[in-house]
Amino acid sequence: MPISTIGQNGLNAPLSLTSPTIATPTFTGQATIPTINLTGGQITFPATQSASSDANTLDDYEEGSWTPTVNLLGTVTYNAQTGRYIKIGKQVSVQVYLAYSSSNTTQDTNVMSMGGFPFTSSSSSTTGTSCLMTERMYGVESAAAPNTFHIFLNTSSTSFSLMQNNYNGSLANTSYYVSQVRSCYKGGTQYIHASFCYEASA
Amino acid sequence: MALTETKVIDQITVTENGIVLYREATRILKDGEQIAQTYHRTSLTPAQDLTGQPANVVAICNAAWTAEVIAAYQAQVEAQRI
Repeated sequence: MPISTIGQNGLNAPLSLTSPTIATPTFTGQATIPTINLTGGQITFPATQSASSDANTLDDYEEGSWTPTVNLLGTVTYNAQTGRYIKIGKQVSVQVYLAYSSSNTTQDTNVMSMGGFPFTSSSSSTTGTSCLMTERMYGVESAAAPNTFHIFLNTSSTSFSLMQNNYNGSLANTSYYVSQVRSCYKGGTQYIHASFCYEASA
Repeated sequence: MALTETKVIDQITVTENGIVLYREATRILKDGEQIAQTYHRTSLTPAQDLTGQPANVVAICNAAWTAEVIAAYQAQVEAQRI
C-alpha cells in the first residue's frame, strides 16, 4: 500500500508505520523522517539503478558475479576465471580469481592489464590512482624478492593496468610488463587472487 | 512443486565511449513465482572479440562500434597507457 502523503501537516509531520498490514510501505515525494526502524531488516533498491547526482544520497545496491580477463599477447587459456562484485552507491568492491596460461613466446612491452570489470570506472577518478590489491600472484614474478602488486585505475574504463612495486630496497614503482611473465614462456599457469574497490561512473 | 531456472539479459548499457555492459539475471521460480535471483555482469570494449556473446548483445555492439567510436576508444586507451 503506497503512502504518498505523510500526515496532514505536510511532509515534516511525524510518521509512524506500525500497522502490520503494511508489509512493504512505499514513500514517494520528499519526506523528512528522523529515524526509520526496519523491523524487516532489509532495504531493497530497484533492479535498475535510479542514479542520483546528490553526494548524500545512496542510490544503488547490487551483488553478483563477473568474468575477469587478462590482456596478454598470444592465446590465453583460462583454467579458472571467476569474479564477484558488490556495488554500494558508486563504490564497487570486486574479487578476482584467475588461473591462466598464454601461448605468448615473444617479448611484449605493453603493460599487463585485467579487463571485464562489471562497471565502468568514473570519469572523474584521477588517472593513475592506484589501489593496493590484496592478492597473490604466482608464476609471474621474475625477481627473487617478493613483490606487491597494485591496480592502476584508468578512467571511464573496464580495464585496469597491473603494476608492481619493487621490493628490493626501493619504493619506486615500476611498470609490470608482460615480458616479465617468464613462466608464461614455459607454458606454466599463472594465478591472480585479488580484491579491491573502485569508483563507478554512476 | 516445480522449480525452474531461467536466464535472461535484463540490462544492456552502452557508455559514452562505446563500452557495452550487460547483465544476465538467473531466476529461480517455484511454481512460476520467482523465489531467487542472481546477476552476472559482462563488459565489452570497442573492437573486442564477440565470439560466444549473446546475439542481441552482438547486434548492439556492432551498431555502437562504428569506426569513429573504435578509434576514439583506442585513443583513450593509448592516452592512459602507462
